[in-house]
Amino acid sequence: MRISRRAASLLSLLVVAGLALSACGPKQDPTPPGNNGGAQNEQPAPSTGQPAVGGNLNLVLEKEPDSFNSILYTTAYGAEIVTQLYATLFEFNEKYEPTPYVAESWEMSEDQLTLSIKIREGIKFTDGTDLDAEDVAFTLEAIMHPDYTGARASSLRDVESIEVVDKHNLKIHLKKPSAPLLTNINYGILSKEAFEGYSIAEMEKAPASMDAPVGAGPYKLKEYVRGQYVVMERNPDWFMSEQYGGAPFIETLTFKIIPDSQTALAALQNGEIDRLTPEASDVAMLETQFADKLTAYNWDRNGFGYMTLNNSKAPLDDKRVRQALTLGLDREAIITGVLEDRATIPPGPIPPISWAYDDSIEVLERDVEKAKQLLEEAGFVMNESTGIYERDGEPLKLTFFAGAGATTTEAIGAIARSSWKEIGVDLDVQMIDFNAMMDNYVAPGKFDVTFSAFNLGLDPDSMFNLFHSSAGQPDANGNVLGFNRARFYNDRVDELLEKAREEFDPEKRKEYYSEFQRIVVDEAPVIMVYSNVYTDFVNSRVKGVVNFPGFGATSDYIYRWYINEK
Amino acid sequence: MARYLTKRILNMIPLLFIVTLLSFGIMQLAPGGPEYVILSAEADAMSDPQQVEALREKWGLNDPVHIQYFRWVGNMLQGDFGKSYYYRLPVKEVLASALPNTIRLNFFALVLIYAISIPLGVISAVRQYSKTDMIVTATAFAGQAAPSFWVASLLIWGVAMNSGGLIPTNGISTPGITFETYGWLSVLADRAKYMFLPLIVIVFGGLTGLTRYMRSSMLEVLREDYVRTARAKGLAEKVVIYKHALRNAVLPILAVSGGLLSSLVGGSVIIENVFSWPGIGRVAWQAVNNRDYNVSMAVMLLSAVLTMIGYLLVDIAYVWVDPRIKYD
Repeated sequence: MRISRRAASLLSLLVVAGLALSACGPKQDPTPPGNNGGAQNEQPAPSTGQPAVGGNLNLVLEKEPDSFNSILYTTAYGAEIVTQLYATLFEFNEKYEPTPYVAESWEMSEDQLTLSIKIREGIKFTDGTDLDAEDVAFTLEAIMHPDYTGARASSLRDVESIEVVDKHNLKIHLKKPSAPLLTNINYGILSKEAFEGYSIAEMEKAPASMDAPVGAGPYKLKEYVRGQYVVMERNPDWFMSEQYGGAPFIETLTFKIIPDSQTALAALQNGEIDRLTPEASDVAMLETQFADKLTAYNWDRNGFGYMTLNNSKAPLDDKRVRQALTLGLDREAIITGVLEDRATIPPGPIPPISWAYDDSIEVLERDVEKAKQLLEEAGFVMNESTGIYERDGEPLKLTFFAGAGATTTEAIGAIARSSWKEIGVDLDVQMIDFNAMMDNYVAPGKFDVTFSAFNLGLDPDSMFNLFHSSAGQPDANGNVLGFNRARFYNDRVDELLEKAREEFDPEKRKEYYSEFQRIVVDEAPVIMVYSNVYTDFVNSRVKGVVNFPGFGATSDYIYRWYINEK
Repeated sequence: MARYLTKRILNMIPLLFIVTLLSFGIMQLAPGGPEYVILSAEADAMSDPQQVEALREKWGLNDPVHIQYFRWVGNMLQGDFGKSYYYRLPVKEVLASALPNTIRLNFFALVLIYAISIPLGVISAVRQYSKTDMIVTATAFAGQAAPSFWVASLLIWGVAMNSGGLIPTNGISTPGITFETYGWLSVLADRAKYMFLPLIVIVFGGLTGLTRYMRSSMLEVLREDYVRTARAKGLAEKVVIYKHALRNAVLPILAVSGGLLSSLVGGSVIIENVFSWPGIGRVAWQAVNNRDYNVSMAVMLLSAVLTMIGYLLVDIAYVWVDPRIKYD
């Protein structure tokens, strides 16, 4: 959610993508709250008091949530509510490893084509009915149904069928082995009964999709006033309550819809909301002036802002030119000048916080001489009168497209222009409406360089969407609609990504991803520009806040937060 | 009169037709489509042109443009404004939840604007070039010149944050405070405190025009012979101004009030965003961003229709205010 807000100011569509993936996401491993206060460095000292039930937490939504149905919502705002409403099969710990939630245990068959899941007994939905294997099957089958109206069908593309063995056992049969399976099937479990009388195509019309959602999560919907707020109240019968020492603790959650970021900042300072990820430029002020009122939680973004180079078009079809641009870009200047030093340069496509990160990959320092040398190797000759390299009489001139309106992007364009000038490359910076840019220049491949952002899911399989050639194939009209807008087609990368997708042994998977990262860094199809260090501010009256790697003070752990003490 | 009205109403039909063409055309020209907003939930879906196509097909976005247009108009004539892609709800429901909020705010704002600007205009006309006139004129121009988002921010930081929790920075009501749970007085007080700041911003920004109109129209009337006659008769100055002059001076104000109805429901994107006021302006703004075609077309159409009705009402009101005017 907090990721989205920020990214949303940079670009409009992409963001939601990574987000929604993450939103179904991480939950904590089963350790009682209170004694796990120091999960990360920034965590404040654990409180001496024991958590007690009570209090109200005020949170912000930048926009109206679109749906409270765990398989139909598409926005980060819907995700915030869905996360509280529903229980999922698995939780994910800080290492992004699955831990039991609705699924008590699970086992993959020898041939890696059947996943057997044992459903925990005695789980009740908030309407008092039982959650069993039928409901899990209903949820997943709805996504696979041809009439399904949501956007998640492809996450279950490897699933052949779902077999309900008995009330508490089910089997998921696969078409082919799938390593990211557990994150891909981890949807909030819907109640089959609540959708009785509604076909899959009509699912959105059921009260359970919006006005009266039925889940088995830590909170239930109390009141939703369109445009104003969503109030949720503690589910006293939450089946994980005992395991977490009586969680959830906070009696009510009030999500207020506040579209303007400056207004949200004022509301945070005024105590009207309890959590916010402010703009980088406001962090220092909040840290100094509100130290007694707000607690800061720093976290590395599980994603990055990056420049896409058009690999299918001269001169960027030449690896040496792409490498030269990477070496020539003054990323330090972007981070200090634009992002107030609240970002790092990503060494490669997989961020260091991921288990799949290859730590032999280091950040490339800026090297103007080497960049020039590479351009000369690629056949360019310096025109001394203009200071720009030329090849066959054509000056090395590139066009950079970026979405207008975001100061960060505008400043990046300016810095790119001046730092590439030093290596003899002329950059024409074009700032236009993001959607117009995507439609008219980026999707049809009529660009040299463009800037956007990408958020990763819990599994490094996200890389598939960015670098596999299938995500960069033009459609009948010549438009690339997938995320491989760099039109980067590398057989070895394709092979590695496919293998990693089907490999269950983490060591082997890591090897595949290591080689993948080294190829991407060498081929330089994109330039990783920055990975933000975000700061979440939470009102100091709230305790037990979990700072989750890559996601910060995420809503997924609100059930462990508390205000009152015994 | 009846004939005139029939003619006016019939004239509105071609105008409406042009409005539907424009609202439809503008959305068609906007790059990107609702399918991207929906599908961007999953990167995989975006990479799968088949899925994008399937969705476009289902929503009828692949049909020729003129067929889409006639389908939209046809449905509308039967009272069906289509479905919001974003909310997965009928457009009518989306608008129905936002409309009362906008009307609530703008009703009070318009009442205040008229209640303040007419007397202000009269005062500055009667005391032309006096200190009062200068102050009124300066304030009015300041209201016009200061951007509303700036005034809004000033109020949030200067007033709300220093009010010790009395005046909230944003929102429209406190969750839980409703007529069922609280007495009506506390509910009203709650709603009033949320309305306070946005109301000031709208009224401050809206005073200028009317005050200036009122001032110049009053100045003109005061030079008329019948005012001189009234004074010569020995009538008190108050009677001259408020009974004889004012009624005539209000006429031009009526002429500029045709947009009233549409501004009552139109809402303001900026004010509704800054103060988190869940009104039509915000719905329209988000619909445009989400390429939620049906919602944004409905809002455009709504404000066009209301503008037309507004001016029709003004024409009718003329007859009532000024007996000299007759339509045949």
